[in-house]
Amino acid sequence: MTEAVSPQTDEQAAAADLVTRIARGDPAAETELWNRYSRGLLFLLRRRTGDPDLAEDLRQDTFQVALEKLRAGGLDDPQKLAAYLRGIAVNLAIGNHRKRVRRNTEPDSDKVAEAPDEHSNPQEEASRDEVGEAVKRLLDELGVSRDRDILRRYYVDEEDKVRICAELDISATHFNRVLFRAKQRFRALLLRAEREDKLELVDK
Amino acid sequence: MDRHYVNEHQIVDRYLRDELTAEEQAEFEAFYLSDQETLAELELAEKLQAGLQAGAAQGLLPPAVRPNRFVRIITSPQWAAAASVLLAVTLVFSGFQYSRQQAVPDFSTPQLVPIYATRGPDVVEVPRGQEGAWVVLLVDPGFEPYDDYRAKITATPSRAVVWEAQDLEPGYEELLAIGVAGSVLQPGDYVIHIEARSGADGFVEISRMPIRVP
Repeated sequence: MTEAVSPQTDEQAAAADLVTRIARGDPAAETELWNRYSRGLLFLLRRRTGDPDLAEDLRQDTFQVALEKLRAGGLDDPQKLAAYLRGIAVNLAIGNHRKRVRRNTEPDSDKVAEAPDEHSNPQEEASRDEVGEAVKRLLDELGVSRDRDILRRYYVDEEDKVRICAELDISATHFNRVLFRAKQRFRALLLRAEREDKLELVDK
Repeated sequence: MDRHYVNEHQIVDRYLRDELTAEEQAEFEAFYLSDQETLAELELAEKLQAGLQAGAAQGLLPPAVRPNRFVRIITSPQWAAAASVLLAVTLVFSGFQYSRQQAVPDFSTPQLVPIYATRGPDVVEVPRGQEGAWVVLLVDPGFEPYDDYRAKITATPSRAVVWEAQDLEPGYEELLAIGVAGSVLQPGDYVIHIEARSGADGFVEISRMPIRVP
């Protein structure tokens, strides 16, 4: 009798290939590892730490730890490379948090709020403006005020979906559709803003 | 975990709201590390949330309004079901005159099938209608409102038009109801094309959804 084997996904195959090539000393594979996972790791670490600079540092550390292991002979299950990287990143974030607590160097939130924002730069400001403009247009274009209520209650007031559906007497599928369509439109508005930005740069 | 599961269970929004179990969270984080499309969804949803919160702080988004009793009644699930059926029956007549089917469908056994556009190559399975019965496909025409909609269903891969209708209007919950005689949708693959226009502009295709009848 044969055992059922789930088919290998593209991701699993690519991960296994990367692990093998890094173990063989292929430098291109190391670059590929970075290209493939760095953006996601930065997102994950930024959410975990709430600090973009710290997230950058921890991402570097994550790759360093991972590469040492991979160069030394790979993983027991190379197909689970993403889970392995995620594990390192989460552990580093937790370790860093513990260190901070021990040293009692948690930033004073009031002082942080008062301090000038050293991280802000013109590019970030532009991006924030684009997001703000896209949100404003999205809200202007929402023809149904109930849809605006749904977005407000879910994303701003962070109310529970079940409660919103019950109070507005709408189905869960309608709720999902409002969110889905709002995101689609928001994406289109952001893309348009980015395109216009690029055109402006070319004109200049 | 795959994109279908992520969409189906609203994993992106639940992740951003810290509503996933520890196990789901670990699985999802490992998934989006290697799936650029899901990561892009995540980044977009985070931006939307941050933008809405900033917009609310600036007064762009008024406080949520609690619906009054009348609104609750007309938006209740019972009313919704009735409205969908009534709407569908109306539309099936307008659409039927363009249909190439000769047999008159049985309006007493409708099947309402909601179809939502999703990113990626997902194909929506539509149950096969019984002989003589009819199927109402409830299709989301998208965010941007147009004055006029028309729709057609083509077979895959022949691209032969098996059904078409014009003068459609989004009705209940802003969906287009497309009534199709069950016999039109024989087992196979099809594509629903939605076209729309505003004012004197010509029709443009705004949505294309692959469906499969098993």
